[in-house]
Amino acid sequence: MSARRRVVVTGAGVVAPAAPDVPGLWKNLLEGRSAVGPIRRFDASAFPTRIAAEAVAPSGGPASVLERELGGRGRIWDFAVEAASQALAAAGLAPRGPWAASAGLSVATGMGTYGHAEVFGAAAAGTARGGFDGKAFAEELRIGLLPHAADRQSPGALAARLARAAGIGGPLLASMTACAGGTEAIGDAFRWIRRAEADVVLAGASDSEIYPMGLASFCLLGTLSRRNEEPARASRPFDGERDGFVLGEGAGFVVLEEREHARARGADILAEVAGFGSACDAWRVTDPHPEGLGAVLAMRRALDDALLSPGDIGYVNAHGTSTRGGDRVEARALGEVFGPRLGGVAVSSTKSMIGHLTVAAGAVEAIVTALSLRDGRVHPTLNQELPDPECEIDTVPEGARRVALRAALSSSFAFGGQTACLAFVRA
Amino acid sequence: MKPSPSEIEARVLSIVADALDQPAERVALDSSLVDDLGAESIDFLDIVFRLESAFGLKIPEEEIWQGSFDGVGDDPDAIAERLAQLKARRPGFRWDRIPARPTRSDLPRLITVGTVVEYLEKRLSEGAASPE
Amino acid sequence: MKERRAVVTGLGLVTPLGPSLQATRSTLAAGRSATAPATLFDASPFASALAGEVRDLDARARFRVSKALKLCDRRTRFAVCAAAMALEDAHFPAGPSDDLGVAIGTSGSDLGAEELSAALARADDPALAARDTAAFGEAALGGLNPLWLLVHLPNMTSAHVAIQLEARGPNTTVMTGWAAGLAAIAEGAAWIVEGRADAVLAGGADSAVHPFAFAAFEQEGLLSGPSPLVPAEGAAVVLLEERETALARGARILGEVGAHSLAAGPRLAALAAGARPAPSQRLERHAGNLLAAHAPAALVLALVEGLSGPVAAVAAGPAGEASSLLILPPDGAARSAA
Repeated sequence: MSARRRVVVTGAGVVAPAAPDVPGLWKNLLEGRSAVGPIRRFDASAFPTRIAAEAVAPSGGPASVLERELGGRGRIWDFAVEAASQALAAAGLAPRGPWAASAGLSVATGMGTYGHAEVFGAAAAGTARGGFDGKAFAEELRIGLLPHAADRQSPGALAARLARAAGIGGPLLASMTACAGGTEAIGDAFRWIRRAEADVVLAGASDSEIYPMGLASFCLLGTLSRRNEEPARASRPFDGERDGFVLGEGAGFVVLEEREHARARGADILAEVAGFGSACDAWRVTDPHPEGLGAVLAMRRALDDALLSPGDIGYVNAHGTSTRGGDRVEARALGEVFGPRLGGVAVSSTKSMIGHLTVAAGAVEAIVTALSLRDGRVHPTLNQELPDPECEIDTVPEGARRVALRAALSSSFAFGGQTACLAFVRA
Repeated sequence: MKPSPSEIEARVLSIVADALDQPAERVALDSSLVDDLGAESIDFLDIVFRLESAFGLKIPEEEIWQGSFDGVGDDPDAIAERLAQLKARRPGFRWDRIPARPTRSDLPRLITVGTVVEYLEKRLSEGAASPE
Repeated sequence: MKERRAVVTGLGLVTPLGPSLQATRSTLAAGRSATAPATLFDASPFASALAGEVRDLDARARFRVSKALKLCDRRTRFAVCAAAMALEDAHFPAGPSDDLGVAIGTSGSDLGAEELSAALARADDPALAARDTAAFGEAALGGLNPLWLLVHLPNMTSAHVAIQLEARGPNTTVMTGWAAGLAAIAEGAAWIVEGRADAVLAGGADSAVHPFAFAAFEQEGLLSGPSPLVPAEGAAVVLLEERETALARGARILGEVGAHSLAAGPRLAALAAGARPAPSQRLERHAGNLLAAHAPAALVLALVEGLSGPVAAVAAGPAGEASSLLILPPDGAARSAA
């Protein structure tokens, strides 16, 4: 049997709340800084949740090469272009360079970008005469439609256009497993390289739900924290007083590369991707399986895929959203996977500081996990004040910690029950 | 005009049956929404929304469910004591399915169609309804 | 370790031509067309109102947990039904399985025009909600169904398939536009070859018969001219299985997944050369364009007739996304076991 191809991370880029790039994000996380604050982008006074972790896509810099072709389609696209550009620059790969024709692109994005007035102008017209007037809705939508509607409505268009702008001609995949999407996008890229479909893959995710309809839809599901008076203390995964998650936004992209290919060109290696696993609870629409079956399967599959055992893992970057039910189930699943070894595993949640980046969360958190392995340090979980007896895990409450790490996991779980997990090892 | 108790009951039975996609004959006052009728968390949101539309009320989140456990908190002894009181009030309920020392996460299982009807009767008699 | 191979053992189809594979084939054989002015919504403001709509689908009959129906939009209902049909067609054992995966491709989302309007209907000034977010907040939080997001999130399509059919294997929703359904089948086959699943329900499900899609198509100029795009809807799902497992349970093997590509350009053309094309154009003439479900639907129609040689399915979308798949006839061993 021939030796397995190995996959390494040779570049990373992020746009995250309070951090326009990877060094900025990592510094904030190690220092335990929360990026959560009152929502400034729009007037959220009528909403029960009025806090979020907003991000800004920086202008100028490496993105200018790509943004000409992909601009004007909203924040999600802007974040993606910036993060992807940073990742390519960090990997020393110029857009449209010789590496690109056979390289792949694997992206996860949210459900589409719409203008508020574009949609709700039509909705208002549809209700103007009492009852529902579908013709008026359609007419108003036609008239008020902003440019590039087809691109904005289809997450796949971002992948296709980004590939074209970067000269990428190899396999292309856009996926959308909601909050597990970012982890999966990187997992799919890893799989391509391992089975020799490509030697280089640009992979990542971008999302934003911080707009009036996005905020409303999550408020209505009752999943958001209402600790509006103390935004920095609202996201408190695994803590006894948690009351829901905080929306974040942004993008994370990595360049994954076949290991020998990377070494031959002298690329910097951040960490190695050793395995990927995914599953589905197949239980309820939003309630997770009470034993965390989908989470357990994803973690075990990632470990098996990486030829690792639970005892090899020193750190888990958890999904850790700060919801009552979700965190409890994740703690249970960790207990099931690690058994008595759980006490020896550091578990922290990046969401405690930057909120929940929804589809992009898994990608940004994968990058954080890789950085942890590179530096032998793990960031804390913020706001650990009241222990929850149902979440007995070491959440790194005291501050950033030095850990001699050999291997780590990064997990994400979605509404609908889809679960995904990446296993990383030190390069 | 305020609906009569039997009207309230009939509407609630119909809404619950609809939201949980259950045949009418399976839905009784003592039916646990979770254990007998298969409700999950989002179904509670759905039912509240439909009740708000049907009765012209604003129902603050959680209020409809807290009724039985107001002020009890997480203390297992306090929960057990309140449980004993409820058992006395609701002999027709399937108490055998509830653990002897329930935790907070068991409590939604106690919610029945009757719980909902009681809450609405109370709200509507306070004159909180707006005309439909 | 012996090389794993992915084979097709079951087919499920829901199209405007009929709510099943059999019904679709009959309508096609009779030469009838299913395209007509849209009835699902008032499309008269658009340059073309022609659409291909699914009719007479008894989704309830295919839902093991019927309570989920209220959360399922059209494309999700189609996906669950087509997936259930594929399992039935394959005589696959029912019941929970850790080794059964789900990979469904879809394109955009209908946001629910009527629900959004209903949300604003109670506001004193609905038009204000379109401009003022505080007014919007009040209206939406009082008037929008709290389950709205769950109905329209694209990943819920493959989640519902998994819930209804108790499939705990890998699960993904592919969204590479019109290429998504075929890409999902390619991914499903890859999972099997990699040993991540022993069986996968894979295919496409889509519904473009709503104002959001029509408005975007019109903006691109696709609804004008002598042969406008006819947006349609439907789902096509195949059951893929690992070959040895399929043979061991006596499954009928329809074909084997050969080369596949998620890239556009020369790899696509090379793959399709020398193979019979799946009847995409014929399907489009009669049923409209099923978007992410289109190429998988054409593939299903090719497979049901039995393969004497390889068949190629190719999908390409307006933004440049592409996928292609080659299905080979079952080899001698598989044929004699069937």
